[in-house]
Amino acid sequence: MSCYSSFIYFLSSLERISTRSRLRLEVKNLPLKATTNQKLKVARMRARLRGQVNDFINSSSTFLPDLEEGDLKPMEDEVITTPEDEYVEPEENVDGSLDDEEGIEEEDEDEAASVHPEAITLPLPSNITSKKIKSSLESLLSIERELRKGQANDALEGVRIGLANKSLLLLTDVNKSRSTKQSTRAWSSVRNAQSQILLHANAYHRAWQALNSIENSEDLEVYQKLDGKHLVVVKDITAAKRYGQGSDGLAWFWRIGPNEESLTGEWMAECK
Amino acid sequence: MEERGEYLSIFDLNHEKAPTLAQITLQLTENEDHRPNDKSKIVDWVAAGIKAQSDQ
Repeated sequence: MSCYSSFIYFLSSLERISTRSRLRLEVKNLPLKATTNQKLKVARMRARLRGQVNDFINSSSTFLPDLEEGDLKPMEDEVITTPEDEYVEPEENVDGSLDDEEGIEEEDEDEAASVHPEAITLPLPSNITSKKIKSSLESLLSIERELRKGQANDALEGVRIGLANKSLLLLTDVNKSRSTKQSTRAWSSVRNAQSQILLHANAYHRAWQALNSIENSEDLEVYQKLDGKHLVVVKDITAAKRYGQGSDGLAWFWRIGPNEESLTGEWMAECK
Repeated sequence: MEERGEYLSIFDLNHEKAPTLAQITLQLTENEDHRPNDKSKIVDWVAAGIKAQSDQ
């Protein structure tokens, strides 16, 4: 295995671990005439999610005061996508087999008739709109703030890996493919990278929305709103030595991290 | 290529990465007496909520 292909393998395995499809996305991607396997998959995901959501809501009474209906604001599900000229149809998960997981119970009829678990607004501290309740939840909010920063870091790492992966694939596999077969394969891996990018970008957007409603200006300086126009391939990889390269810069999320200062200091010094 | 060793460390640009969700969760739940306290229960609960939200 060449160095490059092992690198790509490493990247894709890394991504497979860190991502899990979302139920809403799965439901949205269901074709009009879904197969039994597809329906079963959604039903299983729904049952698992219902368990998660119910557990969370049940234990929320320990930490939160009684909430009324208007106290919670659902997250806006804004879809972030890459700029049009770089748009690639994301890969759809084609599932031949279903992952069997234990402990999944069949849905009761009563439960099936109620609201789907993916549509329930979770009573997370950042989702609470009432200022009065929020002020009494400072410790909860500070914990959520820390965790959301971690979520944002994870998602941005995923976005960076995805974009770098896509750029490399475009430069090598796609550019160098000599036959239809090779090119089909190459584009399919690009599509795979694309779906990873979008998944992580949307995960980041959720983390950012939460941080935004927690309203800590320090965080919002570091974690900015992710714009679709930033989700472009790394031109230093795909189009090195291009006109205007010197004045081009990467988007903000390539430059965050704890070592912002260390990058400019010792690193810039010349080798003796 | 005679100057190897520590000179290569300039390529280790990002050796200190931003903390991940797992690292932060661990850091928040760790406490001195290693017994579950109120704070770690809250951390678990919020982390479960964030996870459920990502799966929604």
